[in-house]
Amino acid sequence: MKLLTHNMIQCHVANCKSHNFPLKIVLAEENSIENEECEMNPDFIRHMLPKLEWSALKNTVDSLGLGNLPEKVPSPDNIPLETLAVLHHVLLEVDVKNCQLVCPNEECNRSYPVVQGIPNLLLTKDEV
Amino acid sequence: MSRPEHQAPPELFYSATEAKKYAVNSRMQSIQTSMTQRALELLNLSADHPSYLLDIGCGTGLSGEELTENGHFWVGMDISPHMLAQGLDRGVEGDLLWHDMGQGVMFRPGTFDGVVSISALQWLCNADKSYHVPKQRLNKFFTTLYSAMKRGARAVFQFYPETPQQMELITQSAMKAGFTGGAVVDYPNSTKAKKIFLCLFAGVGASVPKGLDGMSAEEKKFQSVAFVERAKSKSTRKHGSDRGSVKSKDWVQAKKERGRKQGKDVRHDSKFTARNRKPKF
Repeated sequence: MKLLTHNMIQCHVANCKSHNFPLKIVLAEENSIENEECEMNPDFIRHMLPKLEWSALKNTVDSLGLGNLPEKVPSPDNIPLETLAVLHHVLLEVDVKNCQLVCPNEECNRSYPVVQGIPNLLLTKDEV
Repeated sequence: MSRPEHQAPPELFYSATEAKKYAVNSRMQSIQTSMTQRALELLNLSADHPSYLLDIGCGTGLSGEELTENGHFWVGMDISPHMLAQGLDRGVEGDLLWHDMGQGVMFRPGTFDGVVSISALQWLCNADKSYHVPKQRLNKFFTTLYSAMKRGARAVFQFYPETPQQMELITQSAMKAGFTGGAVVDYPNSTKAKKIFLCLFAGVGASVPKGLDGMSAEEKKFQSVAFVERAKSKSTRKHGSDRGSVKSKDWVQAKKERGRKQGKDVRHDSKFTARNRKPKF
C-alpha cells in the first residue's frame, strides 16, 4: 500500500462517522516497508497537492521516519525541487507491506490488516 | 454457458484457476484491454495532467495496466483474493485493495478524477449472503462513490445486465445517489460485440456520448433515406391517387402473360379481355 492511498482512505464501519481519518499505521516487523522506484511525474504531484490532507501526511511520514516535509502545504505552482523529490518518494515509492491500519476513533478502534501490501478492507455483517 | 453470477459468489467464482486464465488467455486480455480503452475514451479526462483513477473490480489489473499505459495513476479494488494475488505477481503499478464494492467505497470526498469498472457491476445485483439486499448494496455503493469523486468527474462502468429490470435497478439507484448520465450502447445490432457502458457524471450535467454502431457515415445516410422514402410512399397510398384500380386491363394482361411464361393453360387475348361490365341494378 502506498502512502498516497493511505492518505485517501478512512474507516468505513457504519457507526464510525467522525475522527475516522487518518488510519494509524502499526508496522508488523522491522522490514515491512519496501521501496519501489518509479519515474518522477511532477505534473501528477502538483495535481494531487490540493487533494492531500497535509497534516495527516506529515504526521505519517514523521512517525515512520521517511523524510522531511515542510510544516505547511507548498503551493502547487512554485514547489521546491527538494520537496517535490521527497513527496514523490513518500507518496509513490514507499510501499507498506505488512501492518495494521487502526481507526483513530477511540470508540471504534477497528483495525484493518495489510498483508503483502494489500489492505483487507472487508467488513463483517454487523459493521456494514 | 450459464452466467458467472449464477454459479458462485465473486470471491469464490474467481478462484486461483479462474484468475490464472486472465494471466494466460490472450483473448480475454485483448477484450479487457479494448473495453478499458473505450471506457477511457468515454471518461474524457483532462489532457493537462495525469489523473488519479479508481478501478472497481480491478481483478488481476489488466484494465489497470491500460490506465498506466495512458499515463494515469490508479487504485484498484476487488473482492477476489486470488485475482489480487495474480495482480501482485504481475507487478501492476497501481495499489490494490481487498474490498467489497457493496459495502461502499471508503475514500475521502473528492478524491478521484474518474472511475472505471470493467465487467463488475452486474455482480452487485446478486444476493450471495443471507443478509445481502441488492438494492441496499447498490444504494450504499453509489452514494459513497458519488462523494469520493471530484465534482464534474465521470464514472464509466462496462457491465452485462441480465434483464432490463436489472438495468433499471442500477440506473435508478445511481440517479438516487445524485449522478446524472445514462447508458451508452456500443454496436447495438450485434450479439457478440454489443457492449453496455453506464456513463455517470458526478455533479455536472452533460450529454451522454453516442454509442458506436459499426456503420460508416454512408450507411447511416442510406438508412435514414430509406426511412424517409417509406414514410412518403405510405402517405401517397392513403390518398389513393397513384395506385391503379384493382384488376384493370393492364393488370389482367400482365397476369396472363406471367401464366403463359410459367407454361400454364391461359385463354387467348380478345377484345373482351378485362372489358368493363355494364352497371348492375
